Amino acid sequence: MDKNWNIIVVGGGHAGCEAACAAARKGCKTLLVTMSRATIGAMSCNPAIGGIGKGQLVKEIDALGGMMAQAADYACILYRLLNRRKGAAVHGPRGQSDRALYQQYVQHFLKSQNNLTIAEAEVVDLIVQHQHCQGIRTASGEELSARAVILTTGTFLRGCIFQGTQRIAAGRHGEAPATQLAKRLLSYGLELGRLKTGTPPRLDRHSIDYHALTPQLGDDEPHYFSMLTETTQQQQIPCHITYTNTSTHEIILRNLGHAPAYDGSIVSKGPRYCPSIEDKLHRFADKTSHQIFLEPDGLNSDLVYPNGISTSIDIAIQDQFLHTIQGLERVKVVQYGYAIEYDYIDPKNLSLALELHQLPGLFLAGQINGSTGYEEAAAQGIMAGLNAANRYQELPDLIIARHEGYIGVMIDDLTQKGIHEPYRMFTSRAEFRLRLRADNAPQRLCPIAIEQDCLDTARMHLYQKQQQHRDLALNLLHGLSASPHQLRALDIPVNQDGVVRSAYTWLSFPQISFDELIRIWPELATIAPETRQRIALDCHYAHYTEVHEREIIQLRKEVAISIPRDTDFSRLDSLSHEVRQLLTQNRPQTLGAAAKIQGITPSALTHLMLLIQSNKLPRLNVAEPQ
Amino acid sequence: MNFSDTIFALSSAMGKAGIAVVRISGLHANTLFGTLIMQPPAPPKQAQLAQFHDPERSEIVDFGLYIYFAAPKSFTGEDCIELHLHGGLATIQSILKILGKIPNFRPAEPGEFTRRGFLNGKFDLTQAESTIDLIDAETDHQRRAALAHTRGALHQLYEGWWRHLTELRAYAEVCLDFPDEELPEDLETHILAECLRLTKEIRQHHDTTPQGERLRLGTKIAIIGPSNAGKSSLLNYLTQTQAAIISPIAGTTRDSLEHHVDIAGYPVKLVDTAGLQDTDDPIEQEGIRRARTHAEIADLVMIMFDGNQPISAYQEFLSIAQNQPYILIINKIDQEFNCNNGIILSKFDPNNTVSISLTHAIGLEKFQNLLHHHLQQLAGNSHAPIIMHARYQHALHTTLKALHNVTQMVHIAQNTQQNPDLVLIAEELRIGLNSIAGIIGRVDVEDLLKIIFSRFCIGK
Repeated sequence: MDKNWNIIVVGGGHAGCEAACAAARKGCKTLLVTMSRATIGAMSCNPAIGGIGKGQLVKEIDALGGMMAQAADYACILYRLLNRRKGAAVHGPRGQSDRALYQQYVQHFLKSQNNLTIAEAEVVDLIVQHQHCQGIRTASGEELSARAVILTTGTFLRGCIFQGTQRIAAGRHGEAPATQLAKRLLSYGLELGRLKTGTPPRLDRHSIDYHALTPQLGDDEPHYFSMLTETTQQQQIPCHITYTNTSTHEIILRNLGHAPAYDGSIVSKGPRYCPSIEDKLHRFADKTSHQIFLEPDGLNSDLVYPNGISTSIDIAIQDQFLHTIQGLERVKVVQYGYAIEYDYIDPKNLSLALELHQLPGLFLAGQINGSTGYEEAAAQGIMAGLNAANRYQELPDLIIARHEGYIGVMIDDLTQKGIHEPYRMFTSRAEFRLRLRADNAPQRLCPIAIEQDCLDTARMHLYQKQQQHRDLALNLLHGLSASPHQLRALDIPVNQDGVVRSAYTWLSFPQISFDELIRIWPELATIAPETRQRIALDCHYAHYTEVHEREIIQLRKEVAISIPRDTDFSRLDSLSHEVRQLLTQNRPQTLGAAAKIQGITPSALTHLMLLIQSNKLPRLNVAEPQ
Repeated sequence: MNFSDTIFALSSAMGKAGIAVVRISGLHANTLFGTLIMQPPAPPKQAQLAQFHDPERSEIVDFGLYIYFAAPKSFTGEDCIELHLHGGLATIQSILKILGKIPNFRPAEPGEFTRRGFLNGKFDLTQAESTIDLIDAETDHQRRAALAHTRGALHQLYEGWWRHLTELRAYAEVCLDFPDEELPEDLETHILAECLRLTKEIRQHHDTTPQGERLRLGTKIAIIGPSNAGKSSLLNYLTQTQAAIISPIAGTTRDSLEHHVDIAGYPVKLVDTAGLQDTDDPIEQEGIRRARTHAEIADLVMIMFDGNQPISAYQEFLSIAQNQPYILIINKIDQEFNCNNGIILSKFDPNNTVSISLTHAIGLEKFQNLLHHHLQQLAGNSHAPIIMHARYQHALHTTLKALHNVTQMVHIAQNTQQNPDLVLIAEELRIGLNSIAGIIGRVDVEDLLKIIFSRFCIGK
């Protein structure tokens, strides 16, 4: 095999695949190294893509030319737009995936990607020269060099599975962990932490009694993930809903001693928003029932994923409690639930381009950064891939700002604030979420992708067409005007203040819909429904987004003042001990980030500004391998 | 760089001084010409004498110097105006209050002028080095001032609201971020009820602003009445027997004397109109007109009559009494009472009337009690925390507005039987929360998530 590459990606999960494809799209000669070619693109946990916040991430990946949205559309067997009734800004597209089809699509996509080669090997070490990561070493002793390396190890770094009293070293069920690499990372002076996550048992579809269960159907009008998708590609099948009951709870509570999280074997932090059924019962003792979604694993699969009862309790108890649940009285378990503990690297060690401060040339993406979720991993993957390519091509870092996308919010949160538990995207994390809608992702990010030279022609043309339609529509809306009197004549109730307003302004009135506008000006019917909807939403939120605009200007100025990555905050003698400590812990990369740290005084900020401008910040000594 | 807000602050130290400097910086600083400063802008960097005007009340608040610095040649790089006022606290407060009411104007955050200056590239390296000490002094002073407030009862109060608002926002956010969970159905009603409750609490506190000002700067009491009623004696009695005299300060813009005294723990500014009437001015009408002006700006008026002299022009006094807090004092009750006065005096509230003799020390205890009672009403009892800072008031105002918008949205939705846009409700709650969080310095989405995960069983 060729020994020289532009970019090497380690790992073939959601982060690794997006990273490799992004780098290859940018024209870099890219190698993806995985322990098992067959598991590339595997969905390790639930067979679904999207959701609140997550759906927005998928749309953003798509607008940047990524793969996930197309894979999700190809494999989707049930589309649901979440929050449909709660305000368009938080609509979250979600789709049940056929696990096999998803994986098939990803593997096919990678195979047909230019500039991308896939190799099967275990990576055991990094090649570090002049304090830069310059390649990898495999278990067979082969050395492969690259300008940049992207690690996307998921749960494989010293992964350990817990199931009752059993513990098995594994990166995923039945797969070996990456133990040596973790040890090498430690030797570069990187601090590793432990996180845990869990997964429920997988059930045999034929052993479930569906008669008494409520089906959950998909949307009549599916909301596709990719801007390229025009039709539903697979047969659509329902999910089913069932519930735990007091008998279930009794069994679990009586046997908590057989659950590793409660017998003291697991001490690491798991996600609060995705608790095991043990955790739910323990923390919400007064709830007598918990909802379970029985999600089909695929059209031709016999597996069912019971969403809501992740567990690591002893396997005999898993059987027992499952049998108390309606519809599952005679259920057969194909694979038992387990908890998995794995290493992560404190993401505060990363730049906003996802490159390690201590080891330039090494980029990290996905669960290794303390995040959780396919979408979060893929979004970091595409950004790490683009930035590694930029490093190779000697172009500036690509940083998406917090007001430009959920991707920007996530990477900013991870690298500037660090994590306390596996990080998942929530819309409440995005202070500018009114502008970060799923429907306007292309509008927000396609220009960036075009500038980064990573957008295919199909998306580019589509985006340009959308923009043309939008511009035409806006011209039309701004050019037409009417008085309140004219509106009243059409029975549209508005305040008779005598002010003549443009059609665009009238649209921002909550009681005036686009259909109403068409009644006034029939020529507006020429505007395509999709464009209508997008403009109507812009108007709906305009009052708030204008206020945000001002906040953003200030944010941008502060963000524009960057703090050198290798600043040694501990040697900022002019600042108080407390402030130095806060800065060392948080490693802000911009003045804006520093301002957000709790306890940083205005005076400290001013100091910092002065020192940046006078180039007098003390610098770190970069770590040497030991 | 364009900041949309125009900021202002007292740039000299707070406290009594000969001169106080208020600095204004920003895009809209120029709008002060023709409103606060009743003249076109003077050439930049030249001191200019001017009257400072309250555009709302059309009255002159102070006169002094101002210097105009045109952008970019100013400390901040923006249009700047420095007002050099007389150093009286009341003057400073009125000017700050006027500025706060102008659209796009807001009080500056600590260190904000310096930051703007920096972001606009106003400092070169050498200047930067040498200003470090100066900046430190500035912010240190501000930090100490802020700390004194945040440690006390106020901090507790604001933190309580911050917690409630965070909780309220968590209730909205949980519906948005976890739609497939089994959540309580009455969250909307809950949000509405809590909003109304919080609004009431915050408004009550917000409306204590005058009390806070009186507590900090002194309750203003004017003594008015006809000549020889005994006003000077009353003044002497209050300043000499009553309390430590702080100092009699010559008024800055007014031709009367202010005596700063401490009555029962309340700082009081006694405005002495005696000087006006003890002259041999034959035109009593003029005296009454002046007394009236004093009475209008006072928080409490003491109307004093000589019980044995016939009372003339009482209508003026009566109309004052009808418009603001007062105490009616009938002096010289040791002497014979003029029976004709009875009918006039009965037009005043007997509960606000005391009969005394200053020379024979009769009825003084009752007078004292009545005075204390009024002071308590006016300057607040010290059990409830009171707003002491214009920046807090501004922040609370923003919060109240946001809560108002939330209740409006919920009401409209309920009336039209539609779902309110929960995202916008959450956005208003975020605005309201951030404003309070700015006072106590806490803004973190983690606090929000902590509440969500401890209150609701999330986990599909």
